[in-house]
Amino acid sequence: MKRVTITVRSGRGRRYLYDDKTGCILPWSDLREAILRSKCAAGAADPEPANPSADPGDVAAETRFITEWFDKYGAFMRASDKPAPVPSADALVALVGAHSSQLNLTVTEACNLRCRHCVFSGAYLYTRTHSAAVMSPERAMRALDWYVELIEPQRRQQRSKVFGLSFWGGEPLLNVAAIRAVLERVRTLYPGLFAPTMTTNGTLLTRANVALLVDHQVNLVVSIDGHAAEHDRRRVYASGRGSLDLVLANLRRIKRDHPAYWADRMSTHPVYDASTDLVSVAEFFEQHADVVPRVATIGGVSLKDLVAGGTDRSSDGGAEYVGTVGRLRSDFDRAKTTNGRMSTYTEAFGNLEMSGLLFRSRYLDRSLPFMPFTGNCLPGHRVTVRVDGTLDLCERVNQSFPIGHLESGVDGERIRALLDETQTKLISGCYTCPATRMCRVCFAQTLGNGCLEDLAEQCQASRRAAVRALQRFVTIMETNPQAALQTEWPEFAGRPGDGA
Amino acid sequence: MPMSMRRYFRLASDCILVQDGKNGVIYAVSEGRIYLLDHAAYQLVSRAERNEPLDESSIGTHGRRLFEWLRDNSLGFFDDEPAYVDRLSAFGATAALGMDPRAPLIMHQVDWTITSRCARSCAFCPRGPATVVSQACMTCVRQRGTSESTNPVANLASRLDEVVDLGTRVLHIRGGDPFAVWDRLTTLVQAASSKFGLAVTTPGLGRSEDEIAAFSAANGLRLNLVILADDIADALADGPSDIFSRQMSVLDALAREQVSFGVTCIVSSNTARETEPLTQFIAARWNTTPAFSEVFEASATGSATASVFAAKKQLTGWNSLGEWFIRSHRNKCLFGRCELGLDGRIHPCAGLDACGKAAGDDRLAPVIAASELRDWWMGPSERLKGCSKCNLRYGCHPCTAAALHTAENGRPQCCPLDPADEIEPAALPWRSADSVRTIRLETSTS
Repeated sequence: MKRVTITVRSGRGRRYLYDDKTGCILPWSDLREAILRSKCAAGAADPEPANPSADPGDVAAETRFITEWFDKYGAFMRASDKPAPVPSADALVALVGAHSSQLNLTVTEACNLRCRHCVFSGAYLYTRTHSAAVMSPERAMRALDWYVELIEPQRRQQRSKVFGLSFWGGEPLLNVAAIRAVLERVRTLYPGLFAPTMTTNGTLLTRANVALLVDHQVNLVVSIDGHAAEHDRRRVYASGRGSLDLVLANLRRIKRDHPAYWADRMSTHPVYDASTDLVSVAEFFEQHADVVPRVATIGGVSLKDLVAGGTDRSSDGGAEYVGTVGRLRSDFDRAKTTNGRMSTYTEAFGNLEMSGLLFRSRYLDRSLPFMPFTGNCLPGHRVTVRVDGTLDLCERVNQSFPIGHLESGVDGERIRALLDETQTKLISGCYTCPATRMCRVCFAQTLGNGCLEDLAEQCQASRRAAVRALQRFVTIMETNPQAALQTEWPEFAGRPGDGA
Repeated sequence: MPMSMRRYFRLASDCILVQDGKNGVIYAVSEGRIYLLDHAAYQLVSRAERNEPLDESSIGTHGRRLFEWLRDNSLGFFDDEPAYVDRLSAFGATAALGMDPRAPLIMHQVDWTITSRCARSCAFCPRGPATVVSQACMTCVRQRGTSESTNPVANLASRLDEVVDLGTRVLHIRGGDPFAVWDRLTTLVQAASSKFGLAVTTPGLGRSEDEIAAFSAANGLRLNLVILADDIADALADGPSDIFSRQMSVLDALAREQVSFGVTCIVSSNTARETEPLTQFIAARWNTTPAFSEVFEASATGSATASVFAAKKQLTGWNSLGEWFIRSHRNKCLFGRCELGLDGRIHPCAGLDACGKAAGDDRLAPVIAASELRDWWMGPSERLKGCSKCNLRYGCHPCTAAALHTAENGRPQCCPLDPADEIEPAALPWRSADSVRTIRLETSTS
């Protein structure tokens, strides 16, 4: 048995203990710590408190508290174990059918931009580069039918379930024919079964294209990174010319022509890097909120260490960046503490680190028994179809580990091999981790050239992020119990004395 | 250590203070127990939960003793400084908030009413909307009258396929007395036995005891036999009536054939106060604990019904953190279920009005996917105005059908717990003594 807790201090200096077995954050004290240490040392036997100056009533109560949480909830300590064996290949294929929630279609590898950070820019290992390849409408419809067949077990059990259907590229609007064919087929054959989504660079949002998206109520995510100095630094045409002006013009027209669609179905997904002036970008989104749709999520590029772990990059010129990260997080924390306003960019940036904590699994949440830890999805949960019909386990991984092909279906042996490796290289070390419920490590970060890369750094970064999120969280909640952060108990959390 | 050195007190992470603005109740989640606070105790606990500092000069000796009692019973802790208390949660945010719009609505059980015929003619039974039944899902009461113009199993194959599509595990056949329509029952059982677990609720009078026992054993049915508590009371006083004798014979035969069965007692104003002898009688003879269902008039707010409620005032604990979670966030009833009524329409449960369109137009899946039924099962447990401010709402009797049945403009017209009764409930002899305790500041804790 190993203790799996994290102790942090709030901004006021008050101690808290995060217990990874229950996912609960407990007010902590020297007395509780002494009793828990004694308990850990004594195993399952009654602990002997080591604080003779404490009130006997408090000692008895706190001893009972520690013992009861240990006995009732199995809190504080986890035994080393091993996950359930990975199921057979056939069983895994069936599991994909029973769990998959989203079909991603890479309808083209072509793009009219040459964004410098793009995953297909040639700057990254094991990924393809831009090409002129497009998915034929026939193949796109074949992929749709194949997926509907794959999820048939879920459809039988859960008639009302809605699945994701996402169009990717390249720039997907370079292949409107395939998109139109799929959307029409959904309308004709599978009405209500899918919630379509598209991610676009925003330059090809012509009236005709927008009309198609509005007609089918496609949720539209536009990549826009901020003001011209930021956006046009990376998102450029082959000539080097920036793309922001055109994107903003398109957004203005959409809002004018389709205001309800703009408000209800559109969002943005900015990215940033070590050279981003985060503060001025946040100001841009605040000032242009009447044109630029709300920021849903934010992504860092080429900055995995900074994004996940907050590594100090001052030695290579990242000090200013680290400073603006701190400023934005402070703005987020202040707004949460005072129930104040902030830009959607600031909120999304603040949530980037907090989300693992806010959406952590709790006491009775259960994972697949052969994947008890990590932030990994079951491969195929968001199955992605390439232009040539090859299947990837999701849209975020590189192209080094396909899991099948449209014509041959999901390859259970490939998934089994990946999961076997995951158990050996990753999950075996999770039993002693105190932050498994906040884990951010997933295949998108760890898949190298057809195998998992060394994960120690990823794990450490994930744990550092968890600790920092905990510190910020308890600091905010201690000051403002009604802060809009506590999502697990909408009725009770953070509302002591407030009445129900 | 003097109180001045420990100025703060907070409830434990697995205890929840639920308030209605004037009163409060502590739900000790891990214990499955409810602590009713009198007004003075509530005021003090409420102050503490607001992170207000407490010292003996302001809370007095009784206050100190109250907090020490709470501490000594694992309900809270003293502290030197204000604290944020994260409440123990069963499930993560996505599940807790129902944030996943794709979450399916699975009907674990479908009730299928196949007849209104019955050999009995109970005075309360065919009276339609005037009759309210608590836990109607467990009784054979014909709330929608005795009309039976069509055969409800005529399009059996298509309806069974629809039920299969809902993810249903249990098909509950009910009436009237399903044994009174033998052909329908056998047809349905034969078609459905390979697809579902089957349960039948019946007064057990439509066939002989040997036929019922043999048929149930052969088809793996679970029988729920409905008995009037008045009949048992009469039997205990004067010997069994002819009808009750026949029902006893059926139960004896079921026990002899080792058929899985349960007993539901319908209580009245005569018997609601004294259910213990009924429980003992049934437990002694058939080694099972009966469930109790209650029948009353929808319009009745007068003395007769009030006396039943006063005696009932049933608060219940919960058996697990998961059960607490569901009760506090979702419909009180722990199942996903609906009823396919004799009127051909779909009802959230046997005690409630239909959802969907006119008879004959309803197909199960679209109706169940529609917002009306979805809201009923997936919506918060506070849809009733009268209930949303009641501090007893998470411990009240699990069946909300009765309250909803009598609701006008979202406010129940009658309630077994009488939410307007602010202080007195704590002084009344609650039936669920094991899971409910009272804390009074003025005298002593108990």
